[in-house]
Amino acid sequence: MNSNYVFLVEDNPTDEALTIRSLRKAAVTNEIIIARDGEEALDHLFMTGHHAGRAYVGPPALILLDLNLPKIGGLEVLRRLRADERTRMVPVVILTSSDEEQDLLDSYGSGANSYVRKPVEFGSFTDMVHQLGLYWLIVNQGPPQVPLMKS
Amino acid sequence: MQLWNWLFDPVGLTAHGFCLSWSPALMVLHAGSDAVIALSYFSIPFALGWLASQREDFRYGWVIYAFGAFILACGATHAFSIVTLWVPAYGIEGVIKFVTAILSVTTALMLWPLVPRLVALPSTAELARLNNELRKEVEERRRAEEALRLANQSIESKNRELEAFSYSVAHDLRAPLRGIDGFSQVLLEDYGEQIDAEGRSHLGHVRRSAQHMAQLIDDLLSLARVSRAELRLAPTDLVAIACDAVAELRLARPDVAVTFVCPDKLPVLADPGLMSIVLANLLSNAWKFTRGRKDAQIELGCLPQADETVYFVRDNGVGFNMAYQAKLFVAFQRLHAPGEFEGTGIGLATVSRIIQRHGGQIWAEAQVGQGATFYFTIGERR
Repeated sequence: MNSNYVFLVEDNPTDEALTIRSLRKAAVTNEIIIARDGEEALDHLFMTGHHAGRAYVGPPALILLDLNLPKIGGLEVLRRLRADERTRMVPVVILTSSDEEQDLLDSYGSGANSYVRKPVEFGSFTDMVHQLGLYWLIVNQGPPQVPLMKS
Repeated sequence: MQLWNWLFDPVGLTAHGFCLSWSPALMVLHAGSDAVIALSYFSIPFALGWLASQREDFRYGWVIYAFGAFILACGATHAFSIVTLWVPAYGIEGVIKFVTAILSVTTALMLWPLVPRLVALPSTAELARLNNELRKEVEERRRAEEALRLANQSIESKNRELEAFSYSVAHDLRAPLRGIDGFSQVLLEDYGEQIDAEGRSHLGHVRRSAQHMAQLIDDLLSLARVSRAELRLAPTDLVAIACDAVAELRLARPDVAVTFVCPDKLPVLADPGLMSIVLANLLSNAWKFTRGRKDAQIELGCLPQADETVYFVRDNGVGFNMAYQAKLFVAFQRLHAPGEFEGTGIGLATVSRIIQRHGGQIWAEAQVGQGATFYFTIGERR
């Protein structure tokens, strides 16, 4: 596991499969790590719960975050990411079915870097994932790696 | 001098006391009683004045003054009776009585017509009954208000439920469609060679159905959204909005050549976001139904009427039969088969809802093969 991985937080296995397929088709070779609910996502990023005691691998290069998640919702996950020194600057793309104005406001208000509505038509979906991968993993320069703070 | 004599001793009479043989007991009784009566009478106008000053509703105008003057005059006759015990000024006493008589008659004449009005005044019992009724009404009103408040609360909670419902529709109903469409495509991509032409055509139907369903969901959400969105009125130019919509349509269907005609400006006071939904729908309909015409023309304009401006979007497309116009603005009602012209049948329902929310009206005129015109007002009264 390296700190150049894509962290996909998605509860729907169909969307997960389609997203991974599209990322791979877009020639994204980064490791993809999946969390299927908000709690699992936070446990992974902060090495708590099931991930307690695991060696810290650094923050992901990109987080693709769904809003409607079991246990802990996407917005709450985002707020906690932004509140923590280790994940404060990691690029987070909200990837959701909703285009409600309130969700957009809440997401950007909580520190999202990008907000994308998942299209139903698979061609558009593939295009969208391709563009996301290209922009956030190749074109965009991410924040410098923050060394692990001993607490 | 003669008048003076007449007033004080007209015919050489003796004082009243003489008739009483100057009996001290009688003198005291008469003088004392007249004095008490006079003083009592003199006090009554003040009592009336005080009452009138305290009770606005007790002022019967001149009757009160007349009654006061009448009582004062009565007091004066009694006061003067004391004087005549010793002084035979019967002339003056007669004059005072004469004045009193005039005042009495005047007061009586004013008082009689007043009686029916006084009788009409509600009695204390009547007032108590009315008061009681009023109290009951107040109580009923309070109860009704409480019921209304509860009803409002229930509507609010229903609205929240409805919002949660449409949110869930947006989020949860779209995800499976993505799976259906996505994996149909995956099948075509990965196993295309093992599926024959007919199978691939079936998969195409599956994908188109999923996409149509997604469009339906989006349109329904848009309809729900325009119904609950807050109306934000601002000076808005319909032409600018229409030009944006037309630019988008040209981009989406570059193969279709359409002439768009509009004035320089159509300034209105409306919600710009909602009006762009209205024009995007009307123009894309016009675009859709002029498809295949070589001289396709779409026009946006207005007809200034006496009290309200009527705006219109006109096309020279396929039109429709006016017999079906009642169905135009009803959700899910379509006048064309899906194979002929695509659509969900929600667009015009959304347009109509927005126009209604602006307090305006929408209607259409058309002829099969001759095109259609959609007219609308947006509640601007001159």
